[in-house]
Amino acid sequence: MAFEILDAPIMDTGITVGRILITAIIVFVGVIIARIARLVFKKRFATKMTVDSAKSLDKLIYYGIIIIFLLAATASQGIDISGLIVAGGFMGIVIGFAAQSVVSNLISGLFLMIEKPVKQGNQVELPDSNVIGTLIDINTFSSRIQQFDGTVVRIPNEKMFTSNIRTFALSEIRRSDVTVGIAYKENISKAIAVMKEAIEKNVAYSLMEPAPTFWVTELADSSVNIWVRVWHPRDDLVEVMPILLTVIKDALDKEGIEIPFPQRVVWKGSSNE
Amino acid sequence: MQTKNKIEYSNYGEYLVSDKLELFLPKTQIIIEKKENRFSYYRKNSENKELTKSISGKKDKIRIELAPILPLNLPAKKTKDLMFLRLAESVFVEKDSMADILVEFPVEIGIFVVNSDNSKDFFDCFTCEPMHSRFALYGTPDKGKLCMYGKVKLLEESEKPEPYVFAKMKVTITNKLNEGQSVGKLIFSLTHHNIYYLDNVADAHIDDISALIKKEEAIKIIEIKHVEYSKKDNNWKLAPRASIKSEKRKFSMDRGFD
Repeated sequence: MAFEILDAPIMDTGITVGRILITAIIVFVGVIIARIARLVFKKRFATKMTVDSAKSLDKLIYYGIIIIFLLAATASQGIDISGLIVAGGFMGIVIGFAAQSVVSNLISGLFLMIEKPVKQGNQVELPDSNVIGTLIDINTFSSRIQQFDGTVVRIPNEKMFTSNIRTFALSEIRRSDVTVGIAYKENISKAIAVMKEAIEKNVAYSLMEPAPTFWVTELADSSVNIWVRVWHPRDDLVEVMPILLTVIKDALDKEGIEIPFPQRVVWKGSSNE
Repeated sequence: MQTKNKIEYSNYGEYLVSDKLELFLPKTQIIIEKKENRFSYYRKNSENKELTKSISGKKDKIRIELAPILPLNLPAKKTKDLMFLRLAESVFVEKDSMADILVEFPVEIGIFVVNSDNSKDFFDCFTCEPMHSRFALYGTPDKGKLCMYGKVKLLEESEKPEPYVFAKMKVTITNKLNEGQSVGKLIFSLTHHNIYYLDNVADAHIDDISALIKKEEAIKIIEIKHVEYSKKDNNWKLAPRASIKSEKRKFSMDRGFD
């Protein structure tokens, strides 16, 4: 008697409660298998792959197995989901309008995972959003970037996908530039030699080859401006920039080379003129 | 004065510490001292940078080993394997000929704790010449390889490299081209190299390399391979390793070598 309810059809669809139950059980088993597959993948294979590839493949395996089980379960129980698809079509349009940004983020997330303009762990900059930091991950709807002050910024995938992304990921090194002004009376060659020696000696992360370069860029109002360009390992900006100007200033001070401050000579005409 | 300093420096090798041990190296001082339940470790360099650590345990004595190690750790571990040697004077190798040269090779100094079963655990490393712990790029900024860097001089057979700063390395350059070539830099995989040392004179020698200059698809390249140091006798001790060996045993310099 108790099992009669399992044979009871749901409305006039011809689908019984029992079939729905069996379908649910098969899908449930599918979820368990997907989780086991995910666990095996993480332990056995993910360690040998790059982090972002492992994450993408992990999601593909998990959701792929569940979808396969769902389709197998509906097919084996004679549940024709084409009707659902047609019915869902209309609902899809309604929901699509309502959830436009959600779907857009989802699709953008997929494209970001396929195109891989940046990878997990890369230092990235989104100039439009004024965000600079390390990409933590790209999820289904959003990406997370940890800024250098420790805060984490969540960026919708659509924005991430359509933004200009600046990254140093393709090169092992990057360049940092500073401008130093010396007084007009000073010998430029000597000042450059002093700065070069000081950088090589004191900035340990500055590359010896390519060596720092020095360009006189401007004969400015108060100073001769020299553009100092230093190459260093890509992720070591904080090891170079905070000390670079200190090292240069100390070296110039030690050699008595003046770094002038802006000044204006006011000529007070004599009474004879 | 120079000779006097050399004599005062501590040698490579094993030390048994029961109460207090002071080691003096160029620009570096190390003190290991027995405390109640531990040994304290103190290191100070020429820039007055200090480091203190402890070795735990209730042992009465500990054994440590002071040895030269591959220069891959300072100022930071950035490259797993590659070394860039810039020769202070480039070497011209005539066409279809071979040349043997001896060069300095920068080393770091490692401190290892020797266990009761004679296994050795890496404990600390430092350099006696910070100017030799630098980076360089081999290739262009967009495609280059980050390497550890050392600017080195050529040595004579009888000449000893500066102790605690350099080891000696032999480079065999073979030019298979129909024209002479100048070689000003050598880039190669490093982690397969062993360093050997003499503990009574603080002398060190690293495994050698062979460099074959040839043409590959119309590009002149140097193929550099690791060669085991063959002249070592029983007096040379194998220094413990602070880094893991990589799979690579050869490196092709296909982005210039002058």
